[in-house]
Order: sequence, then C-alpha cells, then structure tokens
Amino acid sequence: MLVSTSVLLLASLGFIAYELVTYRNTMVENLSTQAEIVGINTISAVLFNDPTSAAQTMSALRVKPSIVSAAIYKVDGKLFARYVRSDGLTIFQMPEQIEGNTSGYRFQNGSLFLSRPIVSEGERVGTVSIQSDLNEMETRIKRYVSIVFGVLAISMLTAYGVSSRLQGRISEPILHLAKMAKAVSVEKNYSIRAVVDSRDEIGQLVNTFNEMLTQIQVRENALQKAHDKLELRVKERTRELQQEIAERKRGEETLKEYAEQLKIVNKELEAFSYSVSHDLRAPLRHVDGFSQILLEDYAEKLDEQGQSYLRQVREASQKMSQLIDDLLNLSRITRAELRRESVDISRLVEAVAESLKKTEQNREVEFVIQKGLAAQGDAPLLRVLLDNLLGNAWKYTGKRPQARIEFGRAEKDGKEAYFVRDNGAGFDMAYAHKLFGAFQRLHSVAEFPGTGIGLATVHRIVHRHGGQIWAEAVPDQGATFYFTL
Amino acid sequence: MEFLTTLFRMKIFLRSAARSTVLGALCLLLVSGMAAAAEPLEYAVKAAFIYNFAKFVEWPKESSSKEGSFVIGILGRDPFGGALQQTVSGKTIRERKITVKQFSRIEDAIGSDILFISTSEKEGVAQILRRLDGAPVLTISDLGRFSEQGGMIEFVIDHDRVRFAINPGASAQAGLKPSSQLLKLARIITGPGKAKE
Repeated sequence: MLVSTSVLLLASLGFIAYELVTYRNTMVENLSTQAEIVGINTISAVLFNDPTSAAQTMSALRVKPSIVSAAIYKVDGKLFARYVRSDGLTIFQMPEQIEGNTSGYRFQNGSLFLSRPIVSEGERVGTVSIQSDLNEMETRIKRYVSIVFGVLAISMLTAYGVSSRLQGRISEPILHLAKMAKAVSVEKNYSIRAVVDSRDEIGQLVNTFNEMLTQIQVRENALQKAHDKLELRVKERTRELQQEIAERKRGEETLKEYAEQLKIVNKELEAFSYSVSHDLRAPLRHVDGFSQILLEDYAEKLDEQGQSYLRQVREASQKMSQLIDDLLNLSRITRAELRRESVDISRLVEAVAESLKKTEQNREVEFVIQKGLAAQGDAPLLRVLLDNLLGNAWKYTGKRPQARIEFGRAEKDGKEAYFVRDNGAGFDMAYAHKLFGAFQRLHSVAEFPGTGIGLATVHRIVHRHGGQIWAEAVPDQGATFYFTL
Repeated sequence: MEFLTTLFRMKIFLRSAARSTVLGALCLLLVSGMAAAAEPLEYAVKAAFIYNFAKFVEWPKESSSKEGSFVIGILGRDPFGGALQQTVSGKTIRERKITVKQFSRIEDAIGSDILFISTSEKEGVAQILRRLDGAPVLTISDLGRFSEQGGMIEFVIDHDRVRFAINPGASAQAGLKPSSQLLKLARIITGPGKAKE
C-alpha cells in the first residue's frame, strides 16, 4: 500500500511539475497567436485610421475571459484603440504611449503582457498589446491537481480493496500459521493444530505444518516416556546407593568402635608389656647375676654336670634377657611419638653397615648402598628398622662365603620402595605371611640365632610411618625386603 | 483628429529629412497645421488611403497579371500637390512598381488600375463612369454623391475625419473585389450602378 501510494504520488508530482513548466510557454504561444489574429484583423482599421472598427474587432476578445485588456498602437507608439474586460472590475492599465518597435512578453503582477507588431505588405503599421491574467493557468493546474489526487485516492482505495482481499486469501492464513507456531513454541503444547482453509499452496503449507506438529508430538511423547523411565531408574539407583551408604556408614561406625576398642586394648597391652618387661627384668638380673657369680666363684664346688646345668641356666636367662629387651623395644616403638624429618637414609645404612662390620671383623661382606637417598621419617625408629633388616641380612648370609647385601630404592609394583637385598638363606614364600608375626621364626635357632621379634618390630615401624613392607625370597638364594614410608 | 493627421505627416517626413530638423519643422507645422485649414493635410491622408485601398482590393486575374507598373491615375486637376507621388514612392503593389499619372481625358486614363476623379470633373462624372463601365479600374473621388452615381469609392469628411463610402455593386461590375476588411470600415452604398442586363 505504502509503496504504491508513494510511487503514484511521485509520478503525479512529476506530471504537475511538467505542466507548470510547459504551461507558461503554451500560454505565451496561445496569446501570441491571438495577438497576431487581432493584428491581422485590425490592419485596415489602423491604416484607414478607424479606431472604432479596431475597438470593435478587439471586442471579440471577450470570448476569452482570461484576457484582461488589449490595446492597439499606431506605428509611432501612440495608443489607437483599446479593449478592456467587461466585468465591471477591470481597469485599463495599458500605457498611452509605447516604443514604436515594442515586441515580446513579460510576466508581471500576476498577468502576462504580450506585444506583437501589425504588419502590412512587409511594413510595420502598428502594435498589438494584450494583457492576460493567469487564472486560466491556475484553474487548469488546480484541475490537474484535483484530478491527480482524485486518481490517487481512487488508486489507493482500489489498492486497499485489493490488498484486503488478498490478505484474506494469503496473509491471513500465513499470519494464522505464525500465531499457531508461536503458541506451540511458547506453551510447548504440541496438540495445537492450524486450521486448513483452502486447497491451494497455503493449504498445503498448513497441512505440512500440522504433520510436523504431529511428528513433534509423537517424539515429545517418546521423549517423555524415556524421561520418566530414566527418572525411575535414577530413583532406584539413588535408593540403592543410599542403602549402600547407610550400610557403609554403619560399617564405618562399627569400624570406629573397633578401632577405639583396639586402641584401648593396644594401649593396655603396651602398658602391660612394658611394665611386665621392666618387672621381669629385675628378677632376671638377679638370676643372671647370681648364676654368674656361682659360675665364677663356686665353679670348683660343682661337678661337670652341675657346671653344665649352671651354664644352661645362664644361657637361658640371657636369652630371656634378650627376649625382654626385644619386647621392650617393640613396646617402646609402639608407644613412642613419631617425629618426621628428612633423613639421609643412605648414610644411616652405611652407619649400620659399619657397626655390623665391627661386630664380626673377620667377615667379608659386600655392601652395595645407593647413595643420596632421603626419606621422611623418625630417625631413631628408622635406625632400629635398618638395624633389624640389615642385621637379618648379615645374619642369614653368615653361611655364604661371598655375602652381598644391597640397599637402594626402586620402583616395585608401581610404587617407590626401599629395599634390602641379600644373597643369603632366603625362605620359602609359602610362609611369607608368617614373616612379620611376633616370635615367628622360619628357621631354627640352631641354624640362625634370633628371637623372632626383629621383623615384627620392623613391621610395626613401617606401619607407624604409614607405609608397607613385604618380602620376596627364594630358598637358598636370598631375600629381598621392600618397604615404603 | 488633427492630432492623428499630424502623426501621419510625421511618418512621411521622418522618411526623408534628418530627424532633428524634421522635428523642428514638424513643431512649426503642427502649430500652423492646427491653425490653418486642413486641406493640404486632408489630401495627404487621402493619398495614403488611396495607396492603402490598393492593398485591400482584388483585381481580376487578367488585370493583375498585367505587365508594367501599377498605375494610379488622376483625372482632372491634381489636388494632392505631390503627396500621392510621395506616398507611393519606393513602394510596390503586389510586386509591381507604382506610377502616378495625370490625365485630362478619360480615354487616356482607361488603362489605369486606380483612377482618382478630381472635383474639377464634376460635370462629366456620369459620362466618365459610363465610359469606364466594366473596365477593371477602381474609381475613387471626393465628389459628392459619387458612389450613388456608380463610383466605387467616395471620400467623405465626417467629424473632421477622412472617411469613405464604397459601392460594392459598382466594383463587382468591374470585376473588382474589395476585402471585407475594407468594407467594414466603409459606409456601404447600394447605388444605381449600371446593372448589366
């Protein structure tokens, strides 16, 4: 609508402008012709000096109401005859005298003034001047404009009518469709269907739209079902998980209780073993001491058997002393506070190796110690640990002429573990689980001395550091003890 | 009306002499002209009219294709005092040079295109007209009742203005056709032109 109206308006304005421009020229031409005609018809009147006749000829100009006045001048420019429009209002305004050779036109004060020569036999005998008002032009233009606008109005009405009809056929169904689509997307209601009005392309579009909606609806339902199923499953799982968690919690609670109990028990045990050891020590000292005195001072009073019995008593008491020491150690280790600091394990190992060498200076043992290893742990406890492990290694390679003890750090089972390896007696892996039990021995005392406490101690130390300890061995080839801290 | 005739004289004089002197002479003439009798001016006007008549009258074919100059004859006393010669000098009628001749006898004048019959011929007008009957000669005179008698154009003085009367019947008889432009200015006389039986 807007487009057609503006286009029509533009075209009309163009036409009007053209008319305005050309009408002036047309007007001048017409008036010129009229002047010439008047001139021709008044030649004789001018020549024969008959102003009455000239005036009479000019009076014919009354048929053109736009002509305000007219005048004929003789060849010398003097006014000869006049005409003025007989509406009772017009005043004759032409000059009484003009230049003898006046010719041409001008627009002035809302009138067109035009002069033409009167010529007879090639000779100028006078001048005709006509004054015309511009009403005709104005009227014509007004008429033109009104026609233009009338046409414009009719066109607009027609356009409006046509577009309304078209709207009913085309835009409306489309708008309806658009509204439905919006409703569907806003309300998420896929059961809406658009109304099919016609069987043409618009109708097709609507049908297709509805089909699409049906599809969407189906999918929506399927989706909803799946969603519901999923929710159900999730609920179940959640319930299961919750159950598990509850159980676990209960387990944990139980564990906590046990742990508490255990702690208490351990504490008691430790206290007990400590005090026992201490209390056991005193009488033992007596036994050991007095048996020694007996051996030294009263040996001649006893026979061989008696001395042998005494010696056995002493041995047993010493063994018992050793046992008590070890037990004390064990209990101390369990009780003591763990102080973690950076410890140069390699140096520690070397120190232990030195002290071991000192105990049996005749033995040749090869020590391979990895240098520069550091660990975070309690230095005295670590010392004890190493004492035991290296001591064991020393002990069980006693029968080897080429004893070799290694210490280092390696990756084992994905963990960084320290190891002590020897090529000594080794042990049967079947009994590995017994290794770290207190008083457990895999070899007889006759073969290798020992109380069976050592590894238990080591085990406890490692565990207090939060690490793990395990061992691998082959009988008669050697054993490797791994531990982490 | 003296005003207008004066203007006509101005036109004529401007043609010949230098403007300034002419204007001076004109002023004098104006004064004298207004005081004196209009007679010399009157015939100047009539001379102009006679020349103009030629423009508005159609001669029959045979006559208009005549060789030689267009003759304006004066039968009898010449009242124009050279005005007629002056008026037509250098001008042409239908490309024919114009000559002014003076005749004393009608027989000589019969070959003219226009014949002015002077008042001196008052007595013989009827005879003259009879003699010219049918010939393509435009007869002009300022004798009274000329057109009634069958003369074609008669000069009349009306309110101090030179006017004329035309007898179209007479001119028709001679095969001459005065233009409507001329007729509308004239008093029309339906005289007893010699009707052809």
